[in-house]
Amino acid sequence: MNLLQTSNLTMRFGGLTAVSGFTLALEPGELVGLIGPNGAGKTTVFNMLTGRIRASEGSILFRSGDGQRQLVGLKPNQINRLGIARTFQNIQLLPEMSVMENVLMAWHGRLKSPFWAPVLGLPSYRREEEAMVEGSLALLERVNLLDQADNEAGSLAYGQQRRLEIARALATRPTLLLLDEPAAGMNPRETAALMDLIREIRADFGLTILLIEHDMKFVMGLCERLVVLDHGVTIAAGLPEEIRSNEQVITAYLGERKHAAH
Amino acid sequence: MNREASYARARQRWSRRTRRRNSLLSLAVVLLLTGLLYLAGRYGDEYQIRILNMVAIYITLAVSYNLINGITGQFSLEPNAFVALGAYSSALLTMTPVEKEMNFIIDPCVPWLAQVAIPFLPAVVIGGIVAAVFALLMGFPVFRVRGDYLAIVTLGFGEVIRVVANNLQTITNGPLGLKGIAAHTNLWWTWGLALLTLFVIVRLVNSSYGRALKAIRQNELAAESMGINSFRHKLLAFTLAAFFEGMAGAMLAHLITTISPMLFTFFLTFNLLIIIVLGGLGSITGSVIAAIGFAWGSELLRAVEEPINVFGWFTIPGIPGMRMVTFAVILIAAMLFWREGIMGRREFSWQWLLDTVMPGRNNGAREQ
Repeated sequence: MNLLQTSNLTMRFGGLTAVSGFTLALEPGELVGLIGPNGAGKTTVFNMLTGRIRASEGSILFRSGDGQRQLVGLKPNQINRLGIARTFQNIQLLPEMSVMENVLMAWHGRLKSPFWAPVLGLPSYRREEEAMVEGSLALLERVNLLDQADNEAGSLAYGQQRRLEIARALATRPTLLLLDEPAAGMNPRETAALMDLIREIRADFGLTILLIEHDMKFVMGLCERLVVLDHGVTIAAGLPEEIRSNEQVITAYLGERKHAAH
Repeated sequence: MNREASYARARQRWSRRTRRRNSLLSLAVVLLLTGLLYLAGRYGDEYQIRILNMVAIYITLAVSYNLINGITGQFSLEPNAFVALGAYSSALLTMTPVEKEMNFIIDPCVPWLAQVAIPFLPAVVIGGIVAAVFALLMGFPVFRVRGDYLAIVTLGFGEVIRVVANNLQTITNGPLGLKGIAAHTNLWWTWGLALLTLFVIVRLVNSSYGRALKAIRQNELAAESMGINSFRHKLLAFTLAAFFEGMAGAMLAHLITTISPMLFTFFLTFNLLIIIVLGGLGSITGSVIAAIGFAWGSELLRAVEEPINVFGWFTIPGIPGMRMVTFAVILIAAMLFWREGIMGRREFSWQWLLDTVMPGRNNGAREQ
């Protein structure tokens, strides 16, 4: 059974069709790239998958536990609880909270203790909090931000903020991780380190990863399979080598040959 | 800094020992406050005790209002409704059948209420519960909207409760209000409630729930994407705040012994709003400081409404309302110089105090 199966996913904003007939199947453990020119509808796909916007048409089936769940119509927090976590193209951290608190916050959705447990100082809550703290420290170490734990998240450098978003997403214990331009604003050295990090977390956490990225070297070097969107339509899908030489993809990115020749 | 040191530092900051130290220090302060209250109750005059009672009630109200407006960031304008619900419920429950008969002179009180008379403490708790139940019911429609709309909708609810109180002649005695409520409230009750409110809200805010509430304030999109059900958490903060506001209303009713719908107009909410904004939206410490300043300051400022003799040359006649003018000036000045209120979003912490008083010493959580 596929981990994720979307069929005919369509999003219309008024008269504009941002994504049309998007069909994608992800097998467990895959690392897939979603690419395309600006405005192709990549982030819209992510927003539909995570429930931020409701798809106009189509279905999203996601394997959770033993069964399959229809994600269309669910709220972002419900979808996250089923096992899909994401990072954002425009970073969405809590800038006034510490780096540590940003990660701790992501455990809250799984918290079992009711609100009076911390008020009364019940041992059940204390155990949960201690597990949260240890888990968050381990994740911060993982993304190399442990020494920043007490600093405000807003004070971090851009690349560090992106890594913190990944740590925060991992804290929700996803099975599918969606990364929206994880390498944006990073220098080549940071990008190389990020590629290693993504490969490592996939192996260690048993993740399936779908990522959007503009950096072609990054995408070609990391992803096993690519899906290309242009104007909301899937124009190609396949191995990186196939995509690299695909006429339609080159046209979408560079314009038609006769225009390019001018 | 090496890995082990980072771990050790972070662990200690979040450790049980640090928490236990903080709890002990807080307990010491509570004991000290108890002693001071005892002295105030014994040697203070009626006027001073009244001010101290009002200070405690304002602390309770401000800290709970701040939970929803400041910590959770949901700008709402209804606490007058919850205070009214708590005040009316508790007062009607403690009044004896004879007292009710004397109050309800136009229409008799409804039979199911006329014969009820229960002790003060359960009446206060029921006052809180009534407010909380209303908050829960009201939360479902109002948290469908955000921002300015939320403010308007909650303002409307606040007014509705007041208008209903004005017209439910057989239950609230309408515009006549309730007179001769037994004066059960004393320093122990008001300060006990203020400390309980602080205890519950501070512990909640410092827990995982507090992080969720602050996350909703700072970035609701991020909070929801990380699995936090923002609607449920807003509802939790709202209901809990209403519970304490209702109990504070019960204290108020049994302190001033006469209540009428006029007491619970939007002005009450407005005063609380001034307090939490002046203290710093989202800072519990700020709410406490501003509540003390407000309750005490409004008494101190009575002086400006008296005739003032300027060095024996001439006398400025007393102008009623000067107090509010002075308040407005202070408020404007405060907003000009402390844009984010007295505390901003900072909180008092024992760690901060220890580091300030005893710099250079390793006070546990921080490496020197």
